[in-house]
Amino acid sequence: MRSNIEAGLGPGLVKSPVKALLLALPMMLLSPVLLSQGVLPSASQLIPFIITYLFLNTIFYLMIVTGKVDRYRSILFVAYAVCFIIFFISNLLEVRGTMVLTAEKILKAEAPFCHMVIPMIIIPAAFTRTIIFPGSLLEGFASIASMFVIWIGASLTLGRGFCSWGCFYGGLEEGFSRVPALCRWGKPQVKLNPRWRLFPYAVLLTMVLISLASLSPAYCTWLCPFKAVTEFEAITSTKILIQTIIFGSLFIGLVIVLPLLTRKRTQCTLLCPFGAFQSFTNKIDGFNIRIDQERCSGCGHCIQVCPVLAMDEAGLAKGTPNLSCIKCGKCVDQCPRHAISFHIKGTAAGKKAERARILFIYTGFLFLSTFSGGMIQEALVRVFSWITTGKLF
Amino acid sequence: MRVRGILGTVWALLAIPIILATFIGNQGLAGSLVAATGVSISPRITGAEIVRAVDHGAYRTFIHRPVFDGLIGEESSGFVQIDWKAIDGRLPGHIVESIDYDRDGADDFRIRIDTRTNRIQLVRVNQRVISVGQIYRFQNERVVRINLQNHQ
Repeated sequence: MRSNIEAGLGPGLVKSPVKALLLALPMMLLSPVLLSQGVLPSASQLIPFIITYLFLNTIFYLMIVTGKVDRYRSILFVAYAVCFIIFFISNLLEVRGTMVLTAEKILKAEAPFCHMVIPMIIIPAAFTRTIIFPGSLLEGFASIASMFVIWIGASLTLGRGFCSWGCFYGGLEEGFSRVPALCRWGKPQVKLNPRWRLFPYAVLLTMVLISLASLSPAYCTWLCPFKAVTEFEAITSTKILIQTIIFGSLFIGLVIVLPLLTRKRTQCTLLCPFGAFQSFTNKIDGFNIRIDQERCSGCGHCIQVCPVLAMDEAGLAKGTPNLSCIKCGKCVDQCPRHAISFHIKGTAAGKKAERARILFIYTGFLFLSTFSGGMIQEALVRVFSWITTGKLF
Repeated sequence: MRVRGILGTVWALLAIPIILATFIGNQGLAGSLVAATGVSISPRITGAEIVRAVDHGAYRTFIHRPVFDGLIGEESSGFVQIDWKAIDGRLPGHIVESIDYDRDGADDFRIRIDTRTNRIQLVRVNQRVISVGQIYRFQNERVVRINLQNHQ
């Protein structure tokens, strides 16, 4: 019997819809438990719960049956980012009445924690046994310890795959980077020099050193563009005004404009210190991307489409992308010769690629659907409330 | 190669139970992480723990531990945080109080707060007291950080 690759179908295509359904069945059974957290949804949550369940499992089934991992992951990932923003902002407005992070919340350490600050707080925590972030250790929404556990789980299982299967900000720029292709705008307007992919490592080093010296989360204070869609300090001084101009400009530039012009995830590629830090965890998870050099024609299409400049000539020669790979699967989906596949580390390259892909999809999708499911559901509850009553909460 | 392949496959297979444990056991694992590492929120953010409370009837004064905490050991300068909280209702229009932050029995500074305008006057007694630092105005509460020089 010929394999999919020999048949020219690509390494992940499950030809039979019944077989695909059987492969998706464990996820179909598991997802309602994870989505509901073992508690039956209330009457107001039932319809959003059913919609979220159907949406997630349709995406998963399509990934398996079509073999197009990135195409369907991207739909869920963008929806996740949008729902996160709806959920987060409406939650802030309900609890605080404003998106402004007040001095009282900072002083009382009640700010929601975000994974982006992790690289800045690890070394100070090791030296001082204190966390230099004004969040709650265990209580409330997005507590520090809870997010740390999620980050450790993601690092062990996905490495930097977290950036395409977990990060609730990544979907925003991914969405903008895909608009030109959806609208058929022709070739990218701007090409990024591949050397720019090293810049986030410089940002990481700088931010870690500044955070060490000041014992404060320098990146959050000065650079994080996502404050524009979450929370930010009220402008009460020139310093905060400058910080606001910086994060607003970075958001417009790196999350909206440059992704439209380059079709890359430019915040992840050019700035994000968490992404740079997370790259090192690509050494510890069980999966990577491999290029079958016998099948590769060297056309360079994967280099063009990679959203984070992780694929380059050196990678093609070596048979694997560089450390920045976010395991989104775009190169796997789009390789015209099906030479690129998900791979289990330690196993022979090119062998049992279909098994590796299914196992990776299960890992990535389980993480993404569990992390995103609750937020998608909550966002739908808010949207339904807004449609039916005119109020978000 | 065969052993590496088996180990790689086992590690890849373990990813699913690890993710399930990450989410299902999140609260328990988070608690264990905090207990095992013994971390707390930086006193530079919270103002450190309260070491003394003084009851004034309508309001109460909370004096925090002076914060000189640095990356390694103590720093040459820091601050002490004082909170004034109304017990029932609003804070009085003026608060005048002498504070002994180092608990040596002698007042270190005298502070006067106009709670309506948020103006603060500081009279230094101890030479280690430098100036008024950050001022926070909350509902029925004022928080002031007084900059200090470390005696070490």
